Amino acid sequence: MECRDAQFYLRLRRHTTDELGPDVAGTLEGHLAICPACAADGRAAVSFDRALTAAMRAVPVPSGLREKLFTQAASAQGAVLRHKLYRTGGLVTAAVLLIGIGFGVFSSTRPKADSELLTRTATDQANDPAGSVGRFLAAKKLPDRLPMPFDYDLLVHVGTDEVQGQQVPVVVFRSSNGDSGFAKVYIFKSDSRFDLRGLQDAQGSHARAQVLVGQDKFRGATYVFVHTGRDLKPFLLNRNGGGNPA
Amino acid sequence: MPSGGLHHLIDAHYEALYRYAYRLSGSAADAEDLTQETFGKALARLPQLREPDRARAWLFRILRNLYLHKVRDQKRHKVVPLDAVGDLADRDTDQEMPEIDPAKLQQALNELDEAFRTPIILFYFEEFSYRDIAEQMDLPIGTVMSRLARGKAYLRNRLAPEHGTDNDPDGTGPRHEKAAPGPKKVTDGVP
Repeated sequence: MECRDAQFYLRLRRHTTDELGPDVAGTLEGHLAICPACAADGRAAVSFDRALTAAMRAVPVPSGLREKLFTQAASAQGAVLRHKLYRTGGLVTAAVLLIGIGFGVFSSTRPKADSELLTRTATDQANDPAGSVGRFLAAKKLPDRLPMPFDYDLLVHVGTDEVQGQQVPVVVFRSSNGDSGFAKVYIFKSDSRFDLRGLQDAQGSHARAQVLVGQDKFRGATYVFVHTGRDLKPFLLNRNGGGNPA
Repeated sequence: MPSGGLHHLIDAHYEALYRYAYRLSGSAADAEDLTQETFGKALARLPQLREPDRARAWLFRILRNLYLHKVRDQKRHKVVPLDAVGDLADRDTDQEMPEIDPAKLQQALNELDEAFRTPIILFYFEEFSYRDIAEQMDLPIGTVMSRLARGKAYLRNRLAPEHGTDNDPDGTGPRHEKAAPGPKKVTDGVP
């Protein structure tokens, strides 16, 4: 190594962690061992670095700086947290509002169940089944009773069913035999059309269907009896009498 | 990093950051502002700190960027052009260097362009390797070493007893600088 190179490397040599690498450091040390001028330069460089390092670090840190920084950090973190809180709060509020609006729209468009009416109807049906059927039919502008002497103690349901695309009043009785038999009486207005076969098939293969066109007091209505069993006897008051529509 | 991370960072690094800021700016007020702004920025960017071991270098980099942003449009002072300064100082200095007055050091640093001042400061804190300094400044490591050599040569000439303020009353920089050429193989800064 020449003196010129040695002087250059002396400027870059660090005295705590040598980053020149073992090759350069070794060659430099070898040169310093045989060159008094460069060795003197090396000592001077060490001395200069030591003095400069001490001076460089001799900066008094203001005593209140740490507290200022902590206060600033707390304030900044508080602002960040508040920002997050506001954003989260805003999102929650928006979600609640949306849910509320959605629920409101759903509630206002949904058909309301009139629980009082339902209770009154059920009570009425239980206390006076024949009367409740009569009032129901009259409300539908139909003869206010059925053309057969049904046992109203066997009444199960009175209401409307959708039959072949039209809402048709229906009265349903259960069988007195204790089996799962039923009799449904559909009451069509005389001017309405229906498919008897389709109506029978819709009730199951074991069901029978009979049609009675209303006369006299029952004029204006056509009754379709769909029932299980051979006839309607299990559903009538006088079960020993005739089981077919008159 | 957890929310308490910033407090930990402050405790671990605020003194070094303040000293660095002071040596960069030459002003206690600017140094305090820079330190505070650095931690302000650090809080906002804390999630970006993937390697806590690199926190020191990360904070120093933030501080330097803030400083550069501040002085970008300011011609704060006349800087000494180092184009004419060689890598080497005089050779007749085989003597123990006396204590350096920190104020004189700051005066000399203020005269240096930031491109030379920053590597000198980071070097003498002895916390940054050449590679760390190169990363801080986005420079090739050879350029950093070259600037260091030239900056050190200037400071040595400026602060050596025979070249003190008494010998440099106009403060225009060293008069005894020798434009001694470095080794040919390192003219681009790469040894």
